[in-house]
Parts: sequence; structure tokens; C-alpha cells
Amino acid sequence: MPDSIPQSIDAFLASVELRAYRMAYIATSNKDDALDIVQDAMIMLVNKYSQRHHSEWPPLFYRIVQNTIRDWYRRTSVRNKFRQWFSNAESQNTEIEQDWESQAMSQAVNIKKNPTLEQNQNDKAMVQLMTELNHLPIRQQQAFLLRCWEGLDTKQTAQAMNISQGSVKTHYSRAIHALRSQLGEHYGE
Amino acid sequence: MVNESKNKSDTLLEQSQARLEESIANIDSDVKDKLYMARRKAIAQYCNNQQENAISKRLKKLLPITSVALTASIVLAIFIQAGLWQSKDITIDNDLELVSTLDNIELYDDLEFYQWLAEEDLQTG
Repeated sequence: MPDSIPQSIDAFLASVELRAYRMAYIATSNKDDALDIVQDAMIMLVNKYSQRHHSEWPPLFYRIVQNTIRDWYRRTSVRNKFRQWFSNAESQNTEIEQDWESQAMSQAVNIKKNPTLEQNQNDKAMVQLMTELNHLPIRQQQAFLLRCWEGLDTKQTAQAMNISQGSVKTHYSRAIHALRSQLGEHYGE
Repeated sequence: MVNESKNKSDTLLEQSQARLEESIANIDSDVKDKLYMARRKAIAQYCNNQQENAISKRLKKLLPITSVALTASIVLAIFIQAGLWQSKDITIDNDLELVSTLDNIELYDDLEFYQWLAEEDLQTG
């Protein structure tokens, strides 16, 4: 989160749009869905909360983003259940989906062609992180991104996720534990 | 043991933050353009809402004044209308009286005589 919150709604949205997009992308693995989520969140913040004090915008905005992502999850899970119902080859699909997720994350971080060795390692670490974050349960993913990346404190994260502070601590701790076990003790070193 | 675990956690967090920040820097220009358009759309909607709100606020402010003015003008119109009818009735009645009474017509014929009589009274009295 930026140190100082911009006082105009336009500047505020400009300061958070890329992070919000990245969060939505990690959750959805889909560029268009992520863009739709961010656009919906922007419109809702502007229409409903632009009159609020600018210090209230970050938790409100992220709350809208997280709610929109959860709505997307619900819709997608219903759609997937229908798909599974019609399809018999579940095991094959899982492998294809995992491969597709990894490819999607590689595209998302816009990996350069012919990278240097260091760049290549960084890119791999980035894709690895994105993929593991994508595999986390949505609540853990949200808690991790809001606390670790956005720099929201426990209270603000609880407000953004619409859960208790105790639940935030639990989700965050589980997320760190899961990431550490998946990425290794010395991730990125 | 606790410190070691905390250090590992800190390393993970620092590394994750760094990778996420890098991923932001690598977002392609097509997505940036679309995000910019989305922001413009949201702001445009906000401006429209502001204008609509301003108009409705003005109308709300003007509503009591307008309603009072409207009521007053309706009442005034009713009074004027009623007054006109009344005055028309009076003139018709007066005309009828003048036309129908023969004595009064004679009075108008001897108007000069009555005027002289009144002046005489004033002088003597």
C-alpha cells in the first residue's frame, strides 16, 4: 500500500489498479475476468464510497475486490460442477488444468525471451509464487496478499475480508505455512 | 527456535513481496491501457452521478418555494376570478336598477335644479 493515500479518487484508483489486477489475476488465472473484477470494483467504489474520507478508501476498495473475486469463485465453481457432471475424464482434466495454470501465470508475469540466468531464476520464482498462491484456498490467498503485499494491518484486513481479526490471523498463518512448505525454506535465495 | 522460524517467515515474506512487485512491473501495456479505460469509465460515471445529484438537490431545494408560489398563484387566480364575477354581477344589478326605475331618470333630468338647491342650503346653513 502506498505510504500516503491520494486525495482524489482518480489518483487513488491509479495507485491501486495494477495491484488489484494482479490480485484478481492470481485468483482467476484469467486476464479478462481479472480486468472485469477490477473495473467492477472501481465503479462500485466510485459510486458508493467516493464521498468517504480518502483514508477509508483502501480497505473499502480491497473489500469490494475480494467480494467480487469471491462472487467469481462461486459462479465458476457452479459452472465447473456442471462441467464435471457432463464430463467423465476428470483425472485428465486436472493435469491439463495444472499445466494451463502454470502457463497462464507465465504469461501473466510477461516472461521475456532469452533471459539472463539471474532473470530466468527470478522469473521462475515469480511463476512458482503465483502458481502456489493460486492454489491456496481463497481466504488464505486474500489474507496473505492483503497483509503481506498491500501492507494492511490485521484490523484493516478483517474489514476488507469481512471476517474477524482472529480469522485473519488463522488464514494468514496457514497461508505462510502452506507457501513455505511448497516453495521451500529458502525460497528465492 | 522461535527466532529461526520468524527469520524464515520474514525471508519468505520479503521474497514474496519482491516477486509480486516485479510482477507488477511486468504487466503488459495492453492490460495497463484497459485498466486506464476502466478507471476513466468509473470516473465518468461518478461525474454523471454528481451532476444528477446536483440537479436533484437543486430541485429539492426549490421544491418548497415552487410549491408555495404555485399555491399562491392558484389562490390569487381563484380570488381574481371570483372578484371579476362579483363585480360583473354588481354592474348588471346596478344597470338593471337604473333602467327599471323611472324616478331616478327624472332625477337626472332635474340635476341642475338639485345642484342649485344644495348650494342654497350651504349658503343659508
